[in-house]
Amino acid sequence: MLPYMIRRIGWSLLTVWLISLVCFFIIQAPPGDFVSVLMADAEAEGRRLSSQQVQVLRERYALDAPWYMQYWAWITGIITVGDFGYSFRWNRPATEVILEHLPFTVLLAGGSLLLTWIIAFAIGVFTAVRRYSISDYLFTFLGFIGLSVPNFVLALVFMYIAFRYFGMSVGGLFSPDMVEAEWSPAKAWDLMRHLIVPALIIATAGTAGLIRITRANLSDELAQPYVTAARARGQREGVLLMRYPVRAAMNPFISTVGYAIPSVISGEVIVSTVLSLPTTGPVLLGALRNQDMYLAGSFLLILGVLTVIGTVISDLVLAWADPRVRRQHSGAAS
Amino acid sequence: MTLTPTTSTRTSTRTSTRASTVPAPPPRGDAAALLDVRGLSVAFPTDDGVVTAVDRADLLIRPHQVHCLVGESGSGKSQTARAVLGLLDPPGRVSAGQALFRQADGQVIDLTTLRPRGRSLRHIRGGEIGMVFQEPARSLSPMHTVGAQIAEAMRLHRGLDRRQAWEAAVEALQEVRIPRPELRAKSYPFELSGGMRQRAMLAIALAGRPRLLIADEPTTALDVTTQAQILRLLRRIQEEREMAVLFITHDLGVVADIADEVSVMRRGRVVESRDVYELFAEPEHPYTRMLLQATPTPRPGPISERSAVPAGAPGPATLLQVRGLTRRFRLRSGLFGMGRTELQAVDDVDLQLRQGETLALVGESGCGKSTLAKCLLRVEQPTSGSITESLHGTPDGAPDRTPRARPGGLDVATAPESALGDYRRRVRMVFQDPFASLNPRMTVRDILAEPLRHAGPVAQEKLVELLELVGLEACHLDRYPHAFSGGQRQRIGIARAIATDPQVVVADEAVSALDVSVRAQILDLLARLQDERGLSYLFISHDMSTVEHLADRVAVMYLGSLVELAPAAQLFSRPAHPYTETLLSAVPVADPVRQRSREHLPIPGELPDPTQRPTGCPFRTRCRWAEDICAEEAPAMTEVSPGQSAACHFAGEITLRGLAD
Repeated sequence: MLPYMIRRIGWSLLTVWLISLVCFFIIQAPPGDFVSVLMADAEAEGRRLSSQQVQVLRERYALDAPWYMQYWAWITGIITVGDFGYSFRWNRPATEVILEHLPFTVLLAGGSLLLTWIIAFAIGVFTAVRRYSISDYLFTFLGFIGLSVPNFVLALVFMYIAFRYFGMSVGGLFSPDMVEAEWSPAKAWDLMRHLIVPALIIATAGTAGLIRITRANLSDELAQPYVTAARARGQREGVLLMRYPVRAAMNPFISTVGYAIPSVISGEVIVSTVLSLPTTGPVLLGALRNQDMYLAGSFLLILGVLTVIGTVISDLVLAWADPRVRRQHSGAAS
Repeated sequence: MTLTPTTSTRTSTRTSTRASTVPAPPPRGDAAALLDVRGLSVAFPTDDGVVTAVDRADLLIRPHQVHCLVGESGSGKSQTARAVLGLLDPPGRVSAGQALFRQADGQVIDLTTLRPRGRSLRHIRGGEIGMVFQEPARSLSPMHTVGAQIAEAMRLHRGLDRRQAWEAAVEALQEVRIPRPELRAKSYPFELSGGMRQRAMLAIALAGRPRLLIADEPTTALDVTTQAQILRLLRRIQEEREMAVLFITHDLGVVADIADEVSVMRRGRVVESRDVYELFAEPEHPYTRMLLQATPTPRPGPISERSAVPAGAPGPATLLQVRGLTRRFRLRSGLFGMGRTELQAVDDVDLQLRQGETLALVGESGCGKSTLAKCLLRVEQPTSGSITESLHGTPDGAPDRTPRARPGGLDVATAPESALGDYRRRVRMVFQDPFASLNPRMTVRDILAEPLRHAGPVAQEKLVELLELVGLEACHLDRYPHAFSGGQRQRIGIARAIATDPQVVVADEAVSALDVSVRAQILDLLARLQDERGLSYLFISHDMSTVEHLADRVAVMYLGSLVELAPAAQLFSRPAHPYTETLLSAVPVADPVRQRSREHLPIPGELPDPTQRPTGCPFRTRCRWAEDICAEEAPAMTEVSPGQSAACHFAGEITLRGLAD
């Protein structure tokens, strides 16, 4: 197990380094450097940056040095003090902007992942066991609708229904009167109510796909001789179902961890925009539209790194859960 | 509802399907039946109508008896066993009949009336009737340790707690003769060899101390020496526990080895049910007779009567001369895949294939026989050694061959790919799996024309002639492979092989996947083609009985090395290498009298991991003759009698037993 982990992590460090290079060149791509953009912005607003300020910034980011020095200054800033650069759009350090939006994003992503798992597991197992029954066809139908309808359309429909028939305010994460209020049980409850709709919407698409995968995998596993063998030794149907085929069909769930972690940051851009949620998704979209290169580059870097981390985590969890992966990669077999 | 306990004719069966117990039928003269299957039918409703897999089958199994159920694939033998335990795959169901089982308390219960998921049938499964399946690799869950799966059965049927169950599981592994059981209990199935997996399956089936064990082709997926080990273990346990066994198999050699009674099944019906000696001596049903005739049994008699190549005779020309052929594989291992483990798949093999002969290459799985064949065809590039071909001229009577000047003497092992085209038209291959070796998207016409297309358009007559040669007809040309049976597909595979009018055909387990009766037909076809076209065969097989009937010379391989090479008659009657002796001893002879009077050699241990070959002689770890020198020095092939050589330090000094001894 240990050599496998070391090997796996070694490769991902290399990948992360390559990603950071790519992100750096994306940041550098637009003409002019970031201080000149900052000066132009300031002038447009009728301010002037003092030459001392300009000098400090140029030195901080090594803007007059060759590109590899600039890269070094940028990456060490990120690693040592978490300085991701400066957002022109927000006129604040990029780090601050990201951190401000992070908690809600994590809450939303975590909630929707949990919902995805619960719904997909229950329906996936049910449809695989009752294959070709009426209920299987019904859920399959619903699943395909979930797969094919874009998220933002669902978001609009949900908003309309919630507003029209339940009188709920659905935009944002708080009711208008709660936004400025102090934290209290009432405010927390308000947040929960507002989170459930976007979480459901985001979960739907993931659920539909995962149901299909679970159903297909479990159907294959159910036909395996070891299921019959477990039956032939007198095990109860419910117990053997969970212990053997379901256990073997769980791998796709573990793999979703890998995709779920980056979505904490990307935060389902379009759904969040439609529902005007204060998550990181719309911030990323804004940064890309406004050529806010440091913010955009930071997002890309974080997304890339999180994807790698997510994949490593899901690989390691997979190895922990599946002895075939664990034992064979470690060379501990026989 | 009245039951008539006195007249238990076979018609007074199910009066009520709700009644799960019926009075015991009176004993039928001899020992009361443990399991009495009466008029059992199993139906599978499909879109094209109902398929009857089992059709009014009767089966009577007495206590303490090994009852073999024998038949070809699709005869319904597995479905019969599964129906008894309520394990039919949907949509299969029992459509008629009874399976009366006498429980430990003497009560007789009709198993077909029990709910498949109900408590009483769950108690029967494992508790009264244990079951072992064909593929041990797939019948054990890969996600759980072997010990956990045995312990599960222990807890279900013996009421043990977690710790006791684990200890019982370790004990059970000990009982099925698995070395170091504490360690093996913690292994996952994929970490064990096939034989060990089947032993573990057996431990699971025996966990509930059943009175009947159903074994569904338990040794079919195993090598012959492993099969012999498992059969002996099964027989021993059966005697110790006074258990009855329903043993399902297609192999009459296995039947002759272990059966007390035999039932023969064909197309869902039991056509004959007899004592094993009677059945082999005087088969009554024509189908049984056909099966017995199609099954090769070793020909008894002294060597002189058999066709052996006379010593010193000039002999036929050599077509392929293999010298020092070696193929190594490097496997990645260790951190970052930097480490390398070497696997010696074929190790320094010398061999020659002569004009018109059948050379058989035998050995157990992983011995390198298929890799050697692939090297001969240069599908695999040999690591070192040479393959000199002397294919020249045209075989007599070969039709429409344009004579072509051949340089001859090409070294196939090193020749560039571009120079191999002509060679590959003269050395052709027939594959093991007739289902996987034909492209399902090509018609028979495309399949046969493909190897000929390099020389321009292919004439219809040529293809029809090919089909007729292998016993098919012109009307089959435009069909797809799925329209044919396994035997017919193998005929197509053979037609494809001989399409280019080759001199050598390599047949890699070409009849192993076929039923006995079909196998006999294909072997006849191969023999006829050899006579008519002067073909040479390299016949790769693990089935010694078939080889005995077919081969002129036999090469035996073990862990990549050639250990013995001899004329077939000589090899089977007086082997010169201890491994050959072991192999022959493990082959079950399809004759109960001879099989049971043979002396069975102990077969120690298992095939070693090919990446960890023993030093010196590869077989020394399992050899009963091994001495110190065997570990130090690898024996070279030495001639012990004309045409027979063996790689053993004591070749010629020791007297070994043949197949008939």
